[in-house]
Amino acid sequence: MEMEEKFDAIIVGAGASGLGAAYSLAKSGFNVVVLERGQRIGAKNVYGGRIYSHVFEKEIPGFKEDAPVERWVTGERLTFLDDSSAATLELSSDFSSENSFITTLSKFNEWLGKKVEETGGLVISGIKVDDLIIEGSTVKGIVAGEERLFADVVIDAEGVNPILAKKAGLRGDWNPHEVAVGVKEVIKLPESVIEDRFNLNHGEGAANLFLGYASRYGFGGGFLYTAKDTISIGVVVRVDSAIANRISVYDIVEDFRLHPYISKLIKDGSPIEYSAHLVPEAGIHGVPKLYGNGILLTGDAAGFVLNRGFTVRGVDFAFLSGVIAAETIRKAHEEGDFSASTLSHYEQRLKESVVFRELENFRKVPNLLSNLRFFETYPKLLCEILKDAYTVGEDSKKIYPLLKNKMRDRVSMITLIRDIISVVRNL
Amino acid sequence: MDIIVCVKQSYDVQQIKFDPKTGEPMLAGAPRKMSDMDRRALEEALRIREKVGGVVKTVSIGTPDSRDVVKEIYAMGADEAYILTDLKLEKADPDVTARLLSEMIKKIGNYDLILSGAASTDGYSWQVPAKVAAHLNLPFLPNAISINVNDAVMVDCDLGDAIYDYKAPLPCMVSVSLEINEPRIPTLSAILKASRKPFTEFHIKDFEVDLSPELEVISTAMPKVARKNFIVDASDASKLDEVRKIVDELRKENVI
Ligand SMILES: Cc1cc2nc3c(=O)[nH]c(=O)nc-3n(C[C@H](O)[C@H](O)[C@H](O)COP(=O)(O)OP(=O)(O)OC[C@H]3O[C@@H](n4cnc5c(N)ncnc54)[C@H](O)[C@@H]3O)c2cc1C
Repeated sequence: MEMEEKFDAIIVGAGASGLGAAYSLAKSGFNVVVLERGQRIGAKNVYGGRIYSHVFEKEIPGFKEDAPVERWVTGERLTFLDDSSAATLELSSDFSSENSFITTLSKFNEWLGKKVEETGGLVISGIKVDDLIIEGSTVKGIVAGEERLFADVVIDAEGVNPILAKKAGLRGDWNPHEVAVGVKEVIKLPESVIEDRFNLNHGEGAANLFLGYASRYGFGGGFLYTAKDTISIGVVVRVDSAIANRISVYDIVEDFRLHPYISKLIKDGSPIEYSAHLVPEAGIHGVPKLYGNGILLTGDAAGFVLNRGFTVRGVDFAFLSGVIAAETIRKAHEEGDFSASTLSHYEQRLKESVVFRELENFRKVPNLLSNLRFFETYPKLLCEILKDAYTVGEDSKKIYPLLKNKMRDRVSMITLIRDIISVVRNL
Repeated sequence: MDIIVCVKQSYDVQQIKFDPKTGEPMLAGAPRKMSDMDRRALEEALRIREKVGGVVKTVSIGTPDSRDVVKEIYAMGADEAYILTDLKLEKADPDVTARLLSEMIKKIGNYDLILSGAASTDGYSWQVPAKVAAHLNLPFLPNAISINVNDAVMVDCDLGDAIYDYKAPLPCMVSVSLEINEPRIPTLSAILKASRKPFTEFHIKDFEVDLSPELEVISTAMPKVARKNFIVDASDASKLDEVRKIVDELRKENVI
């Protein structure tokens, strides 16, 4: 069936990036529709647990009062795990520094969807976009089942598995070292137990990242976020590493949960949810062609995810890339031209934005993270040294001889120093 | 033929999580969808309209987060949707629900046939349709598996022990069961057309209905499945007899 109505923009995917674009366009009066294949908004979205709030506060009036924030992060911990012990670095800051919060992504996206509808955009779930309508080299619309829908421009916000972007010739498949697989469990515990266990006041939250045992000493790490009355724990492992080490993603989160350090934190909790999802992790190297005639690529589909080894950040970048795509479309609309040359403005604006700045800043991270010492040697070393240092025996121990002894056959002092410098420089 | 269909936005029971400790459903923010049997009642109404012409209207009540049901109602093809939402309806029992629905139906007026699902996907009380019929003083035909209308209504009702053929004069009320039809899946263009179609909102203050429920729900819990939880440490050869015992037990119960 042919549709008579033509939209200003069709957006494929109701994740943070698609909804960011839709919100921004609808706010300026554009006729937009978001199509989401999940039965409801948020149904297919998976992440760790924390969102950086800056972009949202800037774009959405009254964000703090209205958004479904469960806890503002006030405590940050980085924990090195070996098979049975843990060494933790902790930073507690005060409540006023509200710059990231913990929430459920499906609830958050559902809320964003409501915002889009309030501003006059359409968000339709349960519709899978099967194909793009391409005439010559210009994208004219989308195909969903038997139906075709036309628009000046299509925003491809379909997430980490961008089938349409491939069809449009914007990008190819990810290589195994460019994506990670994340597995997550949600564990229910009473609010007060969570606050006691993590030393939190009401409304405060803790973020804990893990290196070492969590990813079975392969490329990746573990995470733990305290939501209101649930705790999310999970593991992210780079796909090439999972394949090489024959890691079963199902076992890995189970093993993580049973680690003595974790099992204490979630004691008496009951698992209520289990999910798995891919994360792009190529950094700036993985950014494909971002635009074509009548099409723009946003969010995970464009690889806008920052993985610093101990934090994964993608939701705010996804949203911001959507907002910048919307800005570009407004400009294109003014000029009455949606060709690649006008849409190239998108890339320019992104390059000036925090998305590219951050990805640039961490340009070396994917390489740095290819260094297995960070995932195996150092977490184990640290745990062992501290364990020995704090074990009181016949004679007291000095750290340096301990360190030297432990490092023998595993890593040279020069390499250690070099690694420390590269971490300080790049993270 | 003017048909009014009662449509409830129920919880999507398959998506609901239960607190593993207390067995209680975790309803805060739980996903919603149109009640399965109500969807079939609406489908049936649309099919009757397609055959004999007329207008299909819907009435819905619920908490404010059930408003989205209107979009689905219109996407399927209803002509007019009427809805009443209020936070106070969180604890509405079948009686309050039926009284409000019948008041709304009276206000809309002008109907030949009223349809609804026989029971809602979440509450599953099977009481509302009969109560609505009683309040409106209408003949009531429950659990329809097929409906035919001309000057009267001919209905096959599945009453458990047998299928009964009933005939009733118009206007009357019919509740439908799951087997009656396979509801249509709205097309994208129908959803788009529906998305901006206006609907009528009623308010509690429009009606003189006592909202205090007669029923008090004491608890809602997941059915407990008793498991025998029998674990044998197979590394110990002396325990092999126990394994044999289990195998015998399972044979006895025809599991293996
Ligand atoms: C385990 C894990 C932990 C993470 N932790 C964090 C974290 O703590 N903080 C953070 O900021 N980020 C985190 N991220 C990254 C973050 O989740 C993503 O970067 C972000 O959600 C991407 O948003 P998006 O809109 O680009 O894509 P998505 O959220 O994936 O949305 C894409 C949507 O498009 C839909 N879709 C796809 N194809 C079609 C189609 N053909 N037709 C219709 N719809 C379609 C999908 O159903 C989906 O809803 C994590 C990711 C993972 C996997």
